[in-house]
Amino acid sequence: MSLLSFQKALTDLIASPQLCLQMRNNPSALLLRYDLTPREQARLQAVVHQPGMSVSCTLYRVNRITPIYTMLPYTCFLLGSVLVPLAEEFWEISYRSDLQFKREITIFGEFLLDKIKSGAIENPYLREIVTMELAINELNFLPREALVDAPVQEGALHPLIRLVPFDHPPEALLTALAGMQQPDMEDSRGNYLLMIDRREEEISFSTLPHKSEAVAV
Amino acid sequence: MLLHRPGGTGTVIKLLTMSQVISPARAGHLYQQSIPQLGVGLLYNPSLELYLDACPDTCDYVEIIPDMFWTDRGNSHGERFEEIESWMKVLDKIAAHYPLTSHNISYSLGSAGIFDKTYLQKMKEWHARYQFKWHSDHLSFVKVHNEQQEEHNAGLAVPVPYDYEVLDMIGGRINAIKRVIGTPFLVENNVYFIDLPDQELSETAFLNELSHDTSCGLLLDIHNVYTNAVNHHFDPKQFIAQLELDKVIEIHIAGGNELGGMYTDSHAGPCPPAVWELLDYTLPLVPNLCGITFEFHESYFHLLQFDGITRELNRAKAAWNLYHT
Repeated sequence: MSLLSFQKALTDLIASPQLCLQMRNNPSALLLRYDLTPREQARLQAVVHQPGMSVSCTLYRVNRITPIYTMLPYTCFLLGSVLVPLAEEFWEISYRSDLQFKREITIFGEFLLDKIKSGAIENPYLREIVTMELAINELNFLPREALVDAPVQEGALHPLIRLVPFDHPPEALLTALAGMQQPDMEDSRGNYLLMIDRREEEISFSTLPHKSEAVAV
Repeated sequence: MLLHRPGGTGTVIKLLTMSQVISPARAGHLYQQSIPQLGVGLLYNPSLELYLDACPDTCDYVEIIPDMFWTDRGNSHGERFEEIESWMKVLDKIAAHYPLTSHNISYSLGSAGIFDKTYLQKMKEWHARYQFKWHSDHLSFVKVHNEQQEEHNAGLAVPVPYDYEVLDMIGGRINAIKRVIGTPFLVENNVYFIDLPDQELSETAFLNELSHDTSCGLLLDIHNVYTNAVNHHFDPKQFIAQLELDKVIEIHIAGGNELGGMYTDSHAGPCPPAVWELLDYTLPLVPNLCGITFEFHESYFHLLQFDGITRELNRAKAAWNLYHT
């Protein structure tokens, strides 16, 4: 039990600079949470004073934010300086990461959508961009060859197609984001649908007038 | 292939392939096992797909991290490992052209919680499918468990204390792996940024004892040694000399960069001169070496480009050839 508890304590510290500070300032209260030998306690008290613990905490954060940055690039761009505080809030809640990109991204994306819905994040473009990037990631992880010729029920979408509602013209919005420019198109709000199609080897995008959802079906 | 000998005698001779000229089935030896000496390889990352198409002859083998090719749904799922189709197509293409070795991250040898036997079974299937020449994992842990044995990821490879208790535990895990998978298994020396006080063994003594106890080989990551030497102020050559070097089957070389006042093993582009110097120092001392693997992270591809990758491989190959031709 002791080694198990030591590893839990050490990784809790690596995941939380705040906990490291607590260990520096009031170790006895924190150490009570774990079942540790005196040597293990001494080790933990020593490492929180080492520069290597700061580096370990930073690497933990780099490793956890890498999937988000890699797979939600436009979302990250739109969030700007809000990204890191939001990610930290997310890690507080979802501390049991398994570093599986697919799940990590899905959970973080849903966390953002909840924040948007509740009004905690205000960005007019964020909802559609988060939804689009989640849809792209979902499609990229699907077994395309197995699904491409799958029978499609009447009135249903092909399993390799997603439709994402946009409040702004998708082409102009995505062009701005691809050029790393903050979009400025609040004057052109409307009802649009972005069709994301993974039936071919390369994923493709097309804009549909909102009323023509039936066309995609 | 047949060829007329130049000089006009008209005699027909056989033209040997390059591999026959260089190495007629050379092998390294690890306890009772013979392992083919492959040469110089690359640790696969997605930026290499085009490189391997464009420059197919610059490396002799490809090392893969199997965990990159699937999504792990977790221990509670019946069909736990969901292979990613687009990645698998690339892997199968590589496997058709190169010998493969496997560099694992999820045996998590140092975890004090439950040992992941489902992962081990998955790797057994993959060994049958891809015929890895050897496989390896790190002297650290990435999976951490609570008292209910619920698992999560530590977020980075965390060092283990070099104590006898841990030595016994990791030895047990390696023996469990060897009972299921007969392919030679190697343990890689770790990078650590924190110094755990009052350890019972040095890292080199720990690795040497682990090899004795389990017949495992060593994957000597020279860049890890260099990183630790820079950060913890020791002589990297002395560290290497303290290892039982006849157990070294593979060497990793890589680059790194600074973060928060320390040097990290970030695999940031080309190898620094000190790593090449350590490679030159080590090569005459490792009689059973079977491969030198160059590692870089895909996000640093822009620092290398195709020419830079080829340059690193050629430099490693020149060093390899001094002792293996």
